[in-house]
Amino acid sequence: MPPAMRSPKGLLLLLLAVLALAYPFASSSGYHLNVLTNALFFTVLAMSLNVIYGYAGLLSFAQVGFWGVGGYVGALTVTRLGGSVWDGMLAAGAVALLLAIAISAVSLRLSNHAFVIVSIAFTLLLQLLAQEWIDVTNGPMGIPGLPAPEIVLGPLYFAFDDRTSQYFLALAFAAATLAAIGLVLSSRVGRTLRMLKHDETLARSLGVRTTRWKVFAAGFAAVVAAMAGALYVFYLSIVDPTIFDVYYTQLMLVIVIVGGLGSFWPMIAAGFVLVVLPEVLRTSDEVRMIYYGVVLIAGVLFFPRGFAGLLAARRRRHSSGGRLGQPGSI
Amino acid sequence: MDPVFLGQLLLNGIVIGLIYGLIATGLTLQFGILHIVNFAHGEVLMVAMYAMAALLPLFGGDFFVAFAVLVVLASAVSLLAARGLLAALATGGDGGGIFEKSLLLTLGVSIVLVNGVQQLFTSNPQMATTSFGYGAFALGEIRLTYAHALASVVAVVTFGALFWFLLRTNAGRALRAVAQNREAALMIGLDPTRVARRAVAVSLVLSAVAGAVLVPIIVFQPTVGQTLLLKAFAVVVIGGMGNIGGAVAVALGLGVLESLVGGFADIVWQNAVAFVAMIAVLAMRPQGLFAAAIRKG
Repeated sequence: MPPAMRSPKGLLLLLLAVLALAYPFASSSGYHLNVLTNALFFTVLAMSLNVIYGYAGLLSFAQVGFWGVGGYVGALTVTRLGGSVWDGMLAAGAVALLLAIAISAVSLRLSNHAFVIVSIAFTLLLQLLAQEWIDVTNGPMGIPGLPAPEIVLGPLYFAFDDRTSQYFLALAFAAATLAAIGLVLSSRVGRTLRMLKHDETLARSLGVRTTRWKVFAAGFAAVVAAMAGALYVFYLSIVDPTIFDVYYTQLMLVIVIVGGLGSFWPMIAAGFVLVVLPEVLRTSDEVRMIYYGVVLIAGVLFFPRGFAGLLAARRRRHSSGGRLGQPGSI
Repeated sequence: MDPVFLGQLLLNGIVIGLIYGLIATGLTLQFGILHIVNFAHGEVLMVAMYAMAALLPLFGGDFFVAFAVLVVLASAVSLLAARGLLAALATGGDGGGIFEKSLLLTLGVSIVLVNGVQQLFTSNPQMATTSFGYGAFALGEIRLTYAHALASVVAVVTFGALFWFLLRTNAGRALRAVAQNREAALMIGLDPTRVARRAVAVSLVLSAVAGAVLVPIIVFQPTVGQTLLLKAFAVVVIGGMGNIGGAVAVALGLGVLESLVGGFADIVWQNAVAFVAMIAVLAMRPQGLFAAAIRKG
């Protein structure tokens, strides 16, 4: 038996993988595939916020900024510099990394609070630039007609130009990115980031260079968000200033908080549920924003540890011999 | 260089700076007293603008009556909102610090307000007419519209009242005491929650006043608060987080600087000035231009 099938978790993962791969063959609805593809992108985006906020404890509103920077840099690399989509993604990651290091290193000199405020201002500024710096960004019109990603390997040629292939591309990107993040977070690096969140003084007393690690977390999260943003605009085939919309910030925060700050699988599950659910409910955009806003407020007030917190509480109750909760009462 | 053009830019900059000041003092007051940041501060201004636009026709376009009614309404709503916000911040407890919680809660409120207003009034730009219309004073060749002049007077009077309140009344002294040292304030018998409630209410009214005086000056839509919030955040950081005098001075400086950049350079850079200045200050003097000592976060 392969190792993945020995534990219930591994079995579940395998099942999920099979489902994800088989889905396009079972359903012919382009709309469903579109919703799922969006869910993949937004889950990666939310995970980038989870890295910096859930793990390192630094609330950042700059993630949507990096997502948008990624979109614009990716699009401009292809339309102005004649690069491929993959060059665009790499350029997006590189630019985002530099920007993230700049704003985090400078603002963390003062405090975590300053970092948060600078991250808000950063995103608001980028949105204004996207609208007003018309020579580069084409203003509110955006940059339309972005090409589909394609693979050229000698005689081999493949273009991701239909819903199904784009879904698989997004799936591969999300799986690779989430796996990479999972590996980093479950390593020593992840433990160091958690320590920053829980007790910075202790971390410093143990010789951890806390500011450097915070800058690292900001850079890592920025690269993930930017590369996801770059791939996303080629999926949409257009980038315009709405890529910086507060909608994405809110969606990310709701996913991370409902899933549970600093959790991995519960957050991914929340990503899918929270993207798919509004589609099932079929609400207008404004009403959907209001729903998310209410969920955000309610989550922060009554549910601050999210779904992962509930799971942990349940596990604790079970291990304490059922004295705190009657078995079967959940 | 044309002196009339320069003078006009300076004058416009001062008016805009005064309005930035109204918004930023509220933000910095909240940060100084409570260590919270209000993401919905711009939306308070936005709602005040829509309220003002709704009130003006009721009073035949008389700005002063509508303004008085708005301030009374805003004070009442602000007291309630402050009470609600502080109660919300006190619930739960384990979800990170009060700072993060305030940001997330007010982000939710901000989004609900922006989209709620959008749903009710659409996102079409709105404007309101007042009885004094578009008339202007002429100072030589420099023009100052009545609306701009009025905004400046209101802002200056409001700052005067604010500083009088902070420096000369016991309630204001209590506020400064809590900002300086919460524990010591508690020890001499001040109730920090009450003081904080008052501070939040005052800051919300400041934002509403800024909205009211902006109504005859600009065309607005539900997202108007967000651009202004960017400027206000920059002002707060540059002036030293929690420093009210610093916020007023920096707001004026930023208004003038933006106006000059807008007049002499490409208009794109006008909005970037605030951010660039903030980053520069953080790099060179992170405690803010007007901070007496470094505040450790």
